[in-house]
Amino acid sequence: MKRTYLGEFEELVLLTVAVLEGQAYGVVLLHELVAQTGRSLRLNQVHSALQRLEDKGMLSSEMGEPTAERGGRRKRLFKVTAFGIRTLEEIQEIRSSLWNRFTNPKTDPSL
Amino acid sequence: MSRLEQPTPQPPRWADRLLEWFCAPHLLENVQGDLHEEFFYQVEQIGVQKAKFQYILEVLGFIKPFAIKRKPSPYPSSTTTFHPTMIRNYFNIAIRNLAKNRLYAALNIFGLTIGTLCCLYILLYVQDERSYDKHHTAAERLYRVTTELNFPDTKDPHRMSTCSPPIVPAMQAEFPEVESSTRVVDPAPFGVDRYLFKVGDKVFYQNTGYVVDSAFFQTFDYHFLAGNPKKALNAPQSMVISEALAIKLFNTTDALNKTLKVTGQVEEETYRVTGVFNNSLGKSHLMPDFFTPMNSRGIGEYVRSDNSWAGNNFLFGYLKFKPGTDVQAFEAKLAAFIERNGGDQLRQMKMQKKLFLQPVRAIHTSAEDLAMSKGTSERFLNMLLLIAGFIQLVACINFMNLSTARSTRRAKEVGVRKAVGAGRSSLMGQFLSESMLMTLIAVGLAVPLVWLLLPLLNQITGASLSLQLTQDWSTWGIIVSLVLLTGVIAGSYPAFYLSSFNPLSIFRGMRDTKTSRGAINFRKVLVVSQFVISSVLIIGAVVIQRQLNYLLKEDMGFEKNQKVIFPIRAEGSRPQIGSFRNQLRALPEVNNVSGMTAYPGRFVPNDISMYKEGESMNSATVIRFAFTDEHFVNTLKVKLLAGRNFTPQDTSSDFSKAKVLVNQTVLKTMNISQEEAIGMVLRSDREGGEQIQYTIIGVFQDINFERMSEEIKPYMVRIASPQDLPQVIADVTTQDYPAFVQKAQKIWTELFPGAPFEYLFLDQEVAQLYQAEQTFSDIIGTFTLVAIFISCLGLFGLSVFAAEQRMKEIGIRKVLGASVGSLTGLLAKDFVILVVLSICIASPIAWYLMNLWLKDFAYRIQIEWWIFVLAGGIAVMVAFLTVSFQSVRSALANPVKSLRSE
Repeated sequence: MKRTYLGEFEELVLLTVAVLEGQAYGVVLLHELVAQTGRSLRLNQVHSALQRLEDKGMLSSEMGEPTAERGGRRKRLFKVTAFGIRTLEEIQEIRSSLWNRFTNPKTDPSL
Repeated sequence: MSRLEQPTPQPPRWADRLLEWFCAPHLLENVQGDLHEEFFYQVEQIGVQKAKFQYILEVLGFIKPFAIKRKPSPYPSSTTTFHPTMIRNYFNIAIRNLAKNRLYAALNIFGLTIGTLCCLYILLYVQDERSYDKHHTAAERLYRVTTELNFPDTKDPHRMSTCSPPIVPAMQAEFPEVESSTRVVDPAPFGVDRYLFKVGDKVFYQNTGYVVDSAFFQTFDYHFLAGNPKKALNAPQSMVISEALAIKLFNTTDALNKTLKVTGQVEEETYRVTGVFNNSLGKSHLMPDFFTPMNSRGIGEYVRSDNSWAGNNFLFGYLKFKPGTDVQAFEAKLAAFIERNGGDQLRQMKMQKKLFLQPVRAIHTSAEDLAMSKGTSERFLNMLLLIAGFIQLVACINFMNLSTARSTRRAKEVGVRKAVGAGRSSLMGQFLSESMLMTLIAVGLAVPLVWLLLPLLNQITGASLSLQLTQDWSTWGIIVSLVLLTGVIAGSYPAFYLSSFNPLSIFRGMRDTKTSRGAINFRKVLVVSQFVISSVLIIGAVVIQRQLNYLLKEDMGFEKNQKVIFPIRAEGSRPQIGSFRNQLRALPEVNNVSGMTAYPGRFVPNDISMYKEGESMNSATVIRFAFTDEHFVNTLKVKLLAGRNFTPQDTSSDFSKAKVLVNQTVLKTMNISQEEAIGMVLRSDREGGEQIQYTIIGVFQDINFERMSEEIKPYMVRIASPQDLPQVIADVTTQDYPAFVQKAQKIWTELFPGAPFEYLFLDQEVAQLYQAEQTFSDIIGTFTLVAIFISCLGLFGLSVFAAEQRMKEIGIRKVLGASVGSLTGLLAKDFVILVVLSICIASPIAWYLMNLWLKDFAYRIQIEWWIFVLAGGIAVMVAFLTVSFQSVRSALANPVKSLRSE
């Protein structure tokens, strides 16, 4: 089956969106990611990742309420789609199975 | 609240603008919102200054494809934009629009027609100039041998298009790469600038004839109407003549084997016609009236016997290489070649010589770098093209300005079209086809006009162009590309601007003030650039004209007005020159008569290297000299600074000992003071130990014998008897020149019955030296007028429009008591300010360009401030007159008319 792969940063963004539960938009995501990873990031990286994820169908978005500090501009709020969640779960599954084999090498049936 | 006391910090405006410009509209709100939110967050965290800096970085970070890429339109652009029916419709609408706005259409078409006229002529001219020598079958294998000489006492190498006689035959013999070669001698610089032809009882002068090797027609291609090109120049005393000359001599081109008698400088020779050619294959830089073979008597004989590898660089040498020859490699072998053959001679003459190859195809357009070459220069042609481009641009700007200024009138049309589903591309197509139609009409008018005006334009440029539309596809190429280019340039901005209107705001009656202010500013920029171009041209024209006047009027050291020259060429006339002079002198109009071998204004062919007492040939100075007599000083009003004039007793037949008058430059160059000069002996060593000794008896003020773009050279005159001075110069005072000329002719026909009567005016001969500058001045002058005229057409259109728009305002002002004068001023002010601004911009540009041009002249004018003021005055004046024509009209209009309809 042909499936879409996620980059490391995309995965982080997708997870963070999922964590923020419908309140995720550009600046909040940026701050959250910086706080969690300690990397120095710029908004354009977050925006481009969000756009790619939306193109892949893992995120959906809608326009939220305008706020004063945004100069009356609306924010774009992101949600993870079912496909996004499934992808995250698949990644998690693969990782944990690999971790399992890494930490308990004896139990690996193929050896 | 502290917010009220302190203004809220704002992100840098320009960065915001930049973002708004590049970011895709559907992303902008979110991106900008996030950026602002982040900015205010950062203001709290790290302070305003750092936050601003961060903001700029963030904005720059968004210059990425994902943010720039626009969302595809939900309404895909119509596939019918370029459908034939649509295109027909575009043109239909365009024609109706033109018919509705006649004044604007007329202004636009008129401007474009004149612009195209100039453009087309210049393009034809440049194409013609570049077409020289492209037609030879082996054109890319033809090269001319050029020479560079280095003397120990001069800094710059002397580069010329000629070479020494034995060089080319030796190349042919030594190098297998050379397929054929020919030498060409133009005897004109050596005084043989006219030939007296005699056929039966017909006698007349013909200007140019070249002496060439017999392989000439195997090297170059000429179309032969009669005769065999391969054999035509094999026999001595044969002659190949041009079609025009054949018709002049024999009334037919079928002139084979006819004989004719020709007199050059000295003897009469008999020639037999072996070929008749014309230039129907293409133009060539070698296009004389006739060719004679090198193996004839006279110059040919001299060339054949000459073996000087160093000096005598007076003939043109051409090589035709075999196909596939590496010309650069060949050129590299020439240093060894010249050393092998002429090394000893060069060392003896203390000079170095390098040989180069110049492609024959490039000869006509690279005349300026080399001495002894005729033609034009690539720089001049490029300059012409640039001017043509500018003029057409000025005409295009008219179109842009008039159509965008009138955009409000067409806004509704655009709105309706958009509302019923016209895409932007089809609107652009419509406006572009309007400009295209305009251009088509303009070019359609310009082509026959060019054809009609060709004789007049040819007079300005001194060319002989013809418009051959039937056979020459490249002319059509030029015309078509001119239409397309002009149409697109003129139409693209209006099309872009008009099609950008938002239908919603048009119908709500709102005008998008931001874009319309932008458009007005852009129009101003365009008007300014039009007048910058015009002003640069005005300043250029004034400077060139003044430099030319300076060259012609400046004291050249001698009187050139009221001098009549009688050149005596015919064989057997010489003994009578003395009596001719005496009879001339007896005429009441004549003050003085002298004779010279070369009068001022002509190339002085004779020179001799001389050194002063106590030095040797190693430090000799090259001095040019001419022969004259004791009347030279009085006839030409040359000032003697020291010493005495000639007396008839000074005449001596001994070539090696003579008395001379020298100019100041001789003293300067040889480092002699005026006091010690008189009586000093100058020497020159000849081969065989012979020594020449000239005694200085007088010093005359420097006179300009050549173009004043050159520095004055060392120059001297020595005395000879009248029969050796074929250029008779008479100083004449009369109001009635025709009567004087008639009297002179009577004397002439009595004394020289066989020779056609000829006379020249010295001032005209001197003016001839500046032919190129005169042409340049005429061209610039013409184009300046054209550019100003076209700019004014546009200005007039804009002022009509402005007056129309402000009709109500003017009415109200008038009712409230404004005078006609103040209203005129009000309307004209806007435009005059623009023109003043453009002069400020144009002045430094023109100053720079004209200094560049003036640099080539040894004697030149200073560009003074008043030239800019004058040019500015002219431009403002013309602009004001144009604008006030309309503003006075609207200021005079009855306010009742403009105000009652509301």
